[in-house]
Amino acid sequence: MGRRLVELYRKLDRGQQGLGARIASSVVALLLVAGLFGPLLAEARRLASLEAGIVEILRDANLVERDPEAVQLMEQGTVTLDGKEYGDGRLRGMPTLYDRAGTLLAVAAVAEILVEEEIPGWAPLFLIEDPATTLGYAALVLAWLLVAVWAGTSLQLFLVVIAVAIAGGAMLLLGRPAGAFAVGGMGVLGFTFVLLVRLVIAGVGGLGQPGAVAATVIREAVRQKAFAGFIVVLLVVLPLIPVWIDPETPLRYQLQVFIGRSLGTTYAVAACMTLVLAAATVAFEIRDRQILQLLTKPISRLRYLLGKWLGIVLLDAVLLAVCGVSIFLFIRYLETRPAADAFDAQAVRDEVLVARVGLEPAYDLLPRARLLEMVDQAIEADPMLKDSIERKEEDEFEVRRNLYADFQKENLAGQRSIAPGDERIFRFPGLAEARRLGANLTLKYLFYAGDSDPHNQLPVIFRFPDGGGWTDRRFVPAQSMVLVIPADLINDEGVLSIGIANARFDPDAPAGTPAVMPGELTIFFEPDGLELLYPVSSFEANFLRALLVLLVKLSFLAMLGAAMASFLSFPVACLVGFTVFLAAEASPFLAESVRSYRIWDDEGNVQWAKSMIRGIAAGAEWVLRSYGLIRPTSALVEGRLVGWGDLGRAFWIVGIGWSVLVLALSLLAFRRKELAVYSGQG
Amino acid sequence: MVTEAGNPEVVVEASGLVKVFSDFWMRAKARAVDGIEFSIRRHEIFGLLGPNGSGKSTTIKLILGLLRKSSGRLVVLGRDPSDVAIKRRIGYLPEESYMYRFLDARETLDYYGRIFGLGAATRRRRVDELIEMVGLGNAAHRPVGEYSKGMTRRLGIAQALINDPEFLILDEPTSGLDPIGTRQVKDLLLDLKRRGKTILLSSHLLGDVEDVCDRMVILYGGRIRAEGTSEELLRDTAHTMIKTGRLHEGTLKEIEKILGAREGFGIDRVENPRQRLEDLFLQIVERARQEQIATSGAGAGGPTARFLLGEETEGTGLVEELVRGRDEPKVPVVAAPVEKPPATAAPATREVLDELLAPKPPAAPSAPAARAPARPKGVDEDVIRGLVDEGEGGRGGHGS
Repeated sequence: MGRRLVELYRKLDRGQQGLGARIASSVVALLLVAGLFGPLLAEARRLASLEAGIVEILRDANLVERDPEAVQLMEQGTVTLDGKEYGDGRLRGMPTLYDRAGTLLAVAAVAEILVEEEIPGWAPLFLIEDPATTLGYAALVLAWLLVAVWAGTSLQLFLVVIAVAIAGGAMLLLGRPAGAFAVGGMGVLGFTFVLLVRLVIAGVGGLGQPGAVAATVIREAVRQKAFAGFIVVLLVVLPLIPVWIDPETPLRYQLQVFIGRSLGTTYAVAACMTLVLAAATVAFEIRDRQILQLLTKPISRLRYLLGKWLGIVLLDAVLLAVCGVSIFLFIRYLETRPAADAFDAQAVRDEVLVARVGLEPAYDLLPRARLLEMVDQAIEADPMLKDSIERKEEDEFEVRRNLYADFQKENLAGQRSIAPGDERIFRFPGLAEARRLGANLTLKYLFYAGDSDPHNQLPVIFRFPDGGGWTDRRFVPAQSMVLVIPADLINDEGVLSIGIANARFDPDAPAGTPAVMPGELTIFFEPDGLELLYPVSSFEANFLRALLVLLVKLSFLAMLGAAMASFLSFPVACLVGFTVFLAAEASPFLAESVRSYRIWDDEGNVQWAKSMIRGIAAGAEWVLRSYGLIRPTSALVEGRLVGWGDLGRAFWIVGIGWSVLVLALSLLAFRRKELAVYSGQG
Repeated sequence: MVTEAGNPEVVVEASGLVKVFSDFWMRAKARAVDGIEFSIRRHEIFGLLGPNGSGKSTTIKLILGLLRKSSGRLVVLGRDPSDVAIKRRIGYLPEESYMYRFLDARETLDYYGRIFGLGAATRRRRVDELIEMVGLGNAAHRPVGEYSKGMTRRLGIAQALINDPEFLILDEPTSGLDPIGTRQVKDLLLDLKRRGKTILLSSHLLGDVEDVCDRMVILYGGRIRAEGTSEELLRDTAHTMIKTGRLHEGTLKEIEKILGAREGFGIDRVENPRQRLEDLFLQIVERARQEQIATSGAGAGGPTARFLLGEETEGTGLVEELVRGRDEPKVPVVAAPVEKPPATAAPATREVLDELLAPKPPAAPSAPAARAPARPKGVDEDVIRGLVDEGEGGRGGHGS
C-alpha cells in the first residue's frame, strides 16, 4: 500500500511538471485568490466608501452654527448617511472633538470610529482597513501561489494545505485557536522556505563555479539532518511565539516583546546554524576526502571557499526573508488589536512602530582659557602637588591633562543637576526636519534623586519657552520615563528648548498661596539620562534595514566558519567561531567591564597580570566593537532608527572588511595545506 | 633518462621525484617516493604497479597537485601540477570514490559538470549518457549514500569522464566491481585509447593491467624496480608455446623424439588450455540476461557514452565532425576480442613481482632499463604479424 502511494505520488509529481498542468494550476490559483480576496476587497471598498461619505458630511458640520449633523453627533454620537444611522454612541457628549470655532477636529479618525460597527466579524481587520492594502495582500498571495505552481510544487503545496487543515482543524475542535494559527504558520513558513530554496538553487546556476558549490551547500543544509534541524526548529518555534504573548498586557509591550523575541530567536538560531554549517561543510569535506575529488578539477581554493560562503549566505537570506515576512505580517496583525488606552495607542504609534533618532541636549562647555586658568589655580592652591611636579615626581603634562578633564566633567555634571526650586533650560538643536515632518517627539528621561528609592514619586515641571505651555509630571527615580511633545513646539531655527524645573504644581492650592512649590531633593541624571527622540523614517523601511544588517552579520559568521575550517578541524573551527561570535555580540558589555576593571591594588601598585588581561580584553573589544555596536533588534524594539549609515558601516566594516581579512588569512594556510595524507607503511 | 621537457607528446614527466612526509615537528616520517623517473606519452595507457605502500597513490597525488614534491621535477601537460588550468583536461578516479552522500547520481554528475564549465545542454546529455553507460539508470535518483560500493565506484568512473578528459588517471578503477563491470571498464579504456586519450592506470589486479597497458612501471619502496612494455617485461624467450588441436599420446611421443633429436630437450609440460574464469563468468551472465532473469541494484552497463567516442555532435559541430571524420586516417580497430594469453602466462607478471620482492641481497638491476618505444605497439603489431603468419601458411600466433 505504501509503495503504491509512493508510486502514485511520483506519477502525480511528474505529471505536474507539464506545461498544461501548470497552466491549469495557475488558473485554479487565480480563481482561489479571487474567491478568497474578492469578498474582502468588496468589503474594504464598502467601508472606505462609507468612511468617505461620513467624512464628506462631517467636514463642514459646525457645532457653533448648530448644523444638524454636528448636533446629532454631539447629542447622540451618530451620523446619518443615505438614510442609515452609523455609530454606537461612544462619541456622544464629547465637546473636545471640536475646536473653539465649532469645527470638528480629526474628521477621519471620527469617521473610522463611526464605521467600526460595520466591520464584519468574519473579516480580519488588517485585511479590510484599506482597499489598496487588500489588493496588495491578494497580489502577494497570488504571486506566492504562481511561483509554487511554476516551480513544480503544486502537489506538495496541496499536501501541505491538507496536512495543515487536518492539524489546524483538530486544534480548533480542541478549542485552541492559537494552536491552529501556529500550525498554519508552520505550514506556510515551511513550504515557503522549500519553495525559495528551490528557486535559489535554480538561480545560482548562472554564477559559475562558486554558484555550483553554493547550490551543493544548500542541498547539504536541507538534506542533512544535523543542519535541517536548525531550520526546522526555527520554522516551528517562530509561529509559537505569538502564543506566549500575554494579550492582557498593553499593546506596546505585546509588540515590543514579539519583535524582540521573534527577531532575536531568528538571529540566534540562524547564527548557530551558520557557524556550524560553515565549519562542517568544509571540515567534513576535507576529513571525508570529497575535497580530493573536487580540487582535482579546475576550481581554485579561493573559488571553493567563496562558493561555500555564498551558499550559506543565500540560505541565511532565504531564512531571514521567510521569517522576516512572517514576523512583519504578524506585527501588522497585532497592530490592529485594541490598545489598553489612548496612551497605549499613542505609544504604539510614536514609540514602537516608528524609526526615531535620539538627540542629547547641547551642554555648555568651559572655554579653554577658563579651563587653563582653573588648572593653574588648582596647582597653585595645592603646595604638595606643586612640589611633586617641581621635583619631577609627577609628570606635569599628565597632571594638567587629568585636571583639565576633571574640571570639564564637573562642569557638565553640574549642568545635569537641578536643585530644588531651580529650573534649567536644555536646548535641542537641529530639529528643522522633525518640525517639517510634524510627527510627535518623545523626551526620554531617567532622573535620580536622593537615594533613588523606586517606591517614591517625585515632582518635576516641563516648560516650553518657545511654544508656550508647560506640564507637570511625577517621576520614579532610576526609572526611564517618557514625555510626548508636539513638533510645533520647535522654533523656526529648528531648536526645541525645554525647561526642567525641580518643582511641583498644586492645582488645589488655596487662593493667595503659590501653586508652584520647590521640590524636595536635587534631581540629577547621567549623560544619557536625557534624550529627545524623533521619527525620521517609517517602520517598514526600518524593519527591512534591520534584516539586511542581520544578514551582513551572518555573512561574516559564514566566512569565519568556512575559513577556519579550511585549516582547522571541525570542533576547533566551531570553538573559534563561537568564541568570536559571542565576544563580538557581548562587546558593549566587554567595553563596560574593561572600563571598570581595576589593575591597581590597594596600595596603588600596578598588577601586571591584571594589566595584561585588561590589555588583551581592550584589544579584543576594540577589534570587535563594530560588530557589537550594531544591534538592529534592540533598535527596532525601542523604535530607533537603523539607518542607511548603520547598514553601510555594517556592510563595509563587518561584511567586507572583516570577511576579506579572515578569508585572506585563511587562504594563506589553506593554499599551503596538503589535502592528501600519507597512506603508506612505516 | 634523457628528459623530454617541452615535448608536446609527453603528458607527464617526472625526474628525480622525491616526496618525504614529515610529522608535526617537521621530522621526516616516510620517504614515500624516492627519486623516481618516468614519462607518460600521449595516447598510451601507462600502468603503475606495486604492492601496498609502494608509492603509487602518492605519485598520483603528486601529479594531481594534491601533494607537493619534496624535490625533483614534475611536469604535467607542460605545467606545474598545482596549475588549476590543466585540471580542465584531466579526469581522476581516486582509489576510493568520495561522493556526497546526500546527492543523487544525476546531481553529482551535474555538479562536477558545472565545475568544468559545461553548458546546460551538454551537461544534461553527458549525464544521461554516462548514467546509462555505467548502468545506474534505475538508481539515478537515489541518494548516493544508499549505493553499494560497486555502484559508488561506477559513479566515480562516470565523474572522472564528465569532462571528456585528455588525460585520465584511474586509481584502482575496477575495485568493487563485478567481473562484468571490470570487463566493461577494460573495454572502455581500450575505446578511450583508440580515441587518443592518455591513461594512467594504477591497480593491484595485475591481470587487468596486463590486458590493457602499453607500458608500465613497477614500484617498490618508492622506487621504480622495473619499467617497460608488457611485451618486454613478460615475454619468456626461453620457451616456445604452440597451440594445436587435440593430440594423441602417440603423436606427442613422436614430437618429443623430434625435439630431443633436433633441439636436445623434450617437452616440459602438456596440458589442455583453460578458459579464463572471467570469460566463463561473462558467458553465464550473458546467458542469464538473455533469459531475462531479474536482478536488483545496478543494471548492466550500456554502451560507451557517445561523447567519449567523439560522437558528441550539435549544430555546426555535426558538420565539423563529419568533415573531420572523412579526412582523418582511421586507427585500425580490432573488431574481434583479442585472444587472451592462456592462464599460464598470467603467472609471468606475478613471477616478475615475486622475483623482485624475494628476500635476496640487492645486486644487479632488476630489469633492463629499456627505452620505451615512441608509439605503443600492442594490438597493431599482433594483427599485422598474424596476417603475415597466415600468409606464410602458419597459424597466427601472437603474444608470448
